[in-house]
Amino acid sequence: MDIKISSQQILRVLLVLCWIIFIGVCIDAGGFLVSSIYWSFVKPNADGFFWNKLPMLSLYQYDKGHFMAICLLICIVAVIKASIFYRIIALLQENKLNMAKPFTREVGSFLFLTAWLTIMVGFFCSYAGKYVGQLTSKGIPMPGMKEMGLAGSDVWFFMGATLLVIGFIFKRGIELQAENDLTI
Amino acid sequence: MPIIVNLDVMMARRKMSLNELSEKVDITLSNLSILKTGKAKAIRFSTLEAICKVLDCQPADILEYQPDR
Repeated sequence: MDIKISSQQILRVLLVLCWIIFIGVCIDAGGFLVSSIYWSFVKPNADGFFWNKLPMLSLYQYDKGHFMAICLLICIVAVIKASIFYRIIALLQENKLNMAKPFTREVGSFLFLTAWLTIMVGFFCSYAGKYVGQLTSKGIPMPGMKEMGLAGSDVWFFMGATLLVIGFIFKRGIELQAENDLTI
Repeated sequence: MPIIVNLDVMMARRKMSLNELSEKVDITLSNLSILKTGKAKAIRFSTLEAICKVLDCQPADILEYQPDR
């Protein structure tokens, strides 16, 4: 028996997956933000208070400035990740993706902005990786990059570059579709 | 664009309205309007043939080349 899966079905599954990831990423971003603000104003006394139980106390005790910088990087990356998934949900939920005429300016701008956001995540992750490396070399015990949500900068860069290339191809597709629409 | 569409001139000569032409050529009014106002990027041979047949004219009566100044 042949099972045919249509594009609409795949998009529906993708929407559900994106919602799940978006909720998870939002909780993560919120957790990091609240923990960072809490630790900035209230002097912490135990590691357990930070989001995900990250061992940040050593860094905090070493230098509050470095601690704030790392927290800022974690929060920026978490918020950008959430915004990427929000944009995907908005695109799929509002039915902006018309399969009959997919090459629209809205989808084109979505691709470009998502590509730049992805590259930004890659840049921040890469910078954070070097920063954490420097701090570790000074003998400060730091949490793992994955636990801080800053791992995989190369993957983000690759994804951003791929999206950018697709965006440029899509741009040509928009022009071709417009030309086709104006062929009588 | 240096290609000028003189559809309105031919329609006036044949005393034919846009609605009438649209019905006879079997093209939507909006597409015919795009063609008439010169917004069209291209025209299919089949469309040109149908218009020429209905208006009893040659393609050169509808399309004209005027180089950009």
